[in-house]
Amino acid sequence: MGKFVRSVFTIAIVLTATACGEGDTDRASIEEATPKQVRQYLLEHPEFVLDDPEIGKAIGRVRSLRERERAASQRRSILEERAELLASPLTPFSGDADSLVTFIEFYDYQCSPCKANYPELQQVKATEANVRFVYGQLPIYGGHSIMAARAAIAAHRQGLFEPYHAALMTANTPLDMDSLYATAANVGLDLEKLRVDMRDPGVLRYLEEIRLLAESLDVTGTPVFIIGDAIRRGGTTAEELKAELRRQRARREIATK
Amino acid sequence: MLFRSLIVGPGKISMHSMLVGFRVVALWIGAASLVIPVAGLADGPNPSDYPALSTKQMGHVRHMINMANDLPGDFSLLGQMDPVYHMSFHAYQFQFAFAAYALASAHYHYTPAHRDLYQDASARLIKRMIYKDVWDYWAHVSKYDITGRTDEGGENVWRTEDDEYGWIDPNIKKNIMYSGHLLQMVGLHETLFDDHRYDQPGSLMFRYAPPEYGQDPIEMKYDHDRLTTVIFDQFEEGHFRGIECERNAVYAECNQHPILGLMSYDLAHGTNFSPEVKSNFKKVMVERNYIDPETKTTMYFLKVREDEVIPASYAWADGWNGHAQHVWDKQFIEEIYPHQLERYIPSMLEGVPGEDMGYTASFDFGWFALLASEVGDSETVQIMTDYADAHFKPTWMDGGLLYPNTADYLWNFSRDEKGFIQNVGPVTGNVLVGFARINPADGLWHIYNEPFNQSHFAEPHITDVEYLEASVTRAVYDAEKDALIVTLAPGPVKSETTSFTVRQLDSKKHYTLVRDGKSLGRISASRGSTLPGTEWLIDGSLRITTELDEPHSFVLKATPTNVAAR
Repeated sequence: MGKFVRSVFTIAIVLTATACGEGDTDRASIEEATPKQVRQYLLEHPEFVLDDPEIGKAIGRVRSLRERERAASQRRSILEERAELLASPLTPFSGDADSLVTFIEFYDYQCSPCKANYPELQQVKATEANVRFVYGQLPIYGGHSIMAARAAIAAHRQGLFEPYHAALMTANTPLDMDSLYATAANVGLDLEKLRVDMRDPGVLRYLEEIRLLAESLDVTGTPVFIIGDAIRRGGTTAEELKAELRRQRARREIATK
Repeated sequence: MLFRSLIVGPGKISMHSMLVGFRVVALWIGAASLVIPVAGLADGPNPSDYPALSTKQMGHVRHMINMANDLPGDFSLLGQMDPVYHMSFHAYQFQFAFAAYALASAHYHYTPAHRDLYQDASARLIKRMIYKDVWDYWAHVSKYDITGRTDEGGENVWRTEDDEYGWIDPNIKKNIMYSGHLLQMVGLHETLFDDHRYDQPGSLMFRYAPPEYGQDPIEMKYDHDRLTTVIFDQFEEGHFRGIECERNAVYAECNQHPILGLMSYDLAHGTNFSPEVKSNFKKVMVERNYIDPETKTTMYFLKVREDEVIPASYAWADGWNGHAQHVWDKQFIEEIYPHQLERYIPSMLEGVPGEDMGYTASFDFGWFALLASEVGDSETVQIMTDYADAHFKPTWMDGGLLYPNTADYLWNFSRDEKGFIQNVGPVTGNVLVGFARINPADGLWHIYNEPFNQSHFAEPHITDVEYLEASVTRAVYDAEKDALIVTLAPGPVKSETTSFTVRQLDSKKHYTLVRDGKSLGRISASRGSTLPGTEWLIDGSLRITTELDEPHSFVLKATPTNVAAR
């Protein structure tokens, strides 16, 4: 910031001097201007900033950066507050539980872009180590989506989340209770236990908590990916996700040093 | 023929009277029981004597609950809004508010003993209402006086000379078209569910990220008290002429909602705001001809700066204003309604749009149907809902019933080659037609003038119904009979069985459980006696499980101890 202000001041002095016909400005004295002097100059000549489109753009960039930082910081706070929820035994995850970066996918089993993204995510999971991939159930496509989310958590209780999730994400048939149960039977789930767990008030409360987490992160649809403290909305590619993971790892490594 | 004599005078029996008017209930049920004796419970209530939501009514309820359940930032069902100028007759705020009022009517009149579903939906609608995309239009709209616009499409807007920057806070000044609805929604939530969460400071939090990115968002903290005070003070400051919606424009209908909101606030807090506002506002309405004594139609708006009433004859304005004013000015609205009916309905349903009709039917239709329901003109409600079913492409979506928006709903009026309205906007299709179909005669009037009292909240009621599997079409506690009457129908998600919990039963009493007219036997919490499909929970509640292949009705009636002991 100090460097930016000093540059502004330098330009200001040069312009002022040029306007006054003083071509032999003493650059050394300009370089020695203190931030206080720069500030004083800008207070007396605010039009200098307002009238300069380049400076206007630079200020816009800084403001956008700050806004992004503020939003990222807010997401970090929310995720820290809800760490217990993300570590709940009801939360399905894959990868490394103790990794520096958490990757949350908010999805719905009837959301076409979510299903289209599934192979991309599988690719990321296969190649990226040291990441905790969390499955965020966000059923927003109606009753059968809600039932599918409940069934997925119930499958997680039986230790068969991954095959059930894979089967639902790759299914081409419409989702209904018959297909949910048939898929469950195919992957070897105990249907009686599944039915009971799908009505367990603890499972229902858990799903409501996950929804509230999504709302607090300003998730307004599916799929949405929370990668570290970044947010990506809508369909994406493995390469984009990996790039964001790299950025997040770098940030975390810097932060923990 | 659409003209008819209306039966809206005193003497009709409302649904609410059936529920809480003991004398009427006793006579009516008694008479019905003579005709249809209930096997196993000779003096027991017959479920069919109590109002139940029809399949279509339940479909509308489900659609509005689906709207409540969508993520706060998901507006995909709610039509297209101008990205800056979000407000219109179909604005998000109106859809959420009228959905809340419709659900209130469904709960109060059909399922007063089934609270949690409606309470949760009400809270979710309020949550959606305070989501920034619903109200941040005000940061833009508050800068302009748009009262120069014309029906021909002219849109003279100009920056106001005073307070030219307007306001970000959607409640602090004017904009009663938003804050009045929020007050009514919060008031209904408190009085229908005895839920005081919005009395907590900061419980209504408005966050605005200013365009100057990089700064922290602005937070505006409200609660029920502050919202009430801010609105009442504006009524007072304006000498009760009404609070402006847009800059320089007082609409009569917008000011009805805060009045209803103040009535609820008074009820819950023991204050006396609403009588003062009602009497003074009515005085101004009469003195300034807000409703023209000749045409019997509601003004377009009052231009505040010019102190000029702009008269109009719009079905939407009369329907909107009338259904709400009816709550506190019943006789007057019922007197003028037949004139309004004659003026609008023939041209709306059969003719072509003319001077007696709003410039678009996409919202005229819905608001007038709502008025017809409130004043008890069931014949017109039937005609209009039949019309909607025939011409507005009724659609079932995830168990909910709606009429989808037509592409050009905002500005174009169109009819098909046979002259039928094609133009359906989201406020009509998502909410108002369903509201009219749900709302019985005097529906809102009863909610505000015969509100639930504390004994209601201590009565037996049901909870924990699996909403996806089962629709509760009837849930009533009849205090006179000391009986709970419940009807469940299959929901959109197939299930062989479903359960519900009955709470606040008297542990000292014995109860007879009747299903579909057949007594299943007697049970008692104190004796721990159960029947197949029932289970006493630790907290004294009774869990009932039933198959759900078709609708089933249950009656749980307290039985005299000596009978049970035999």
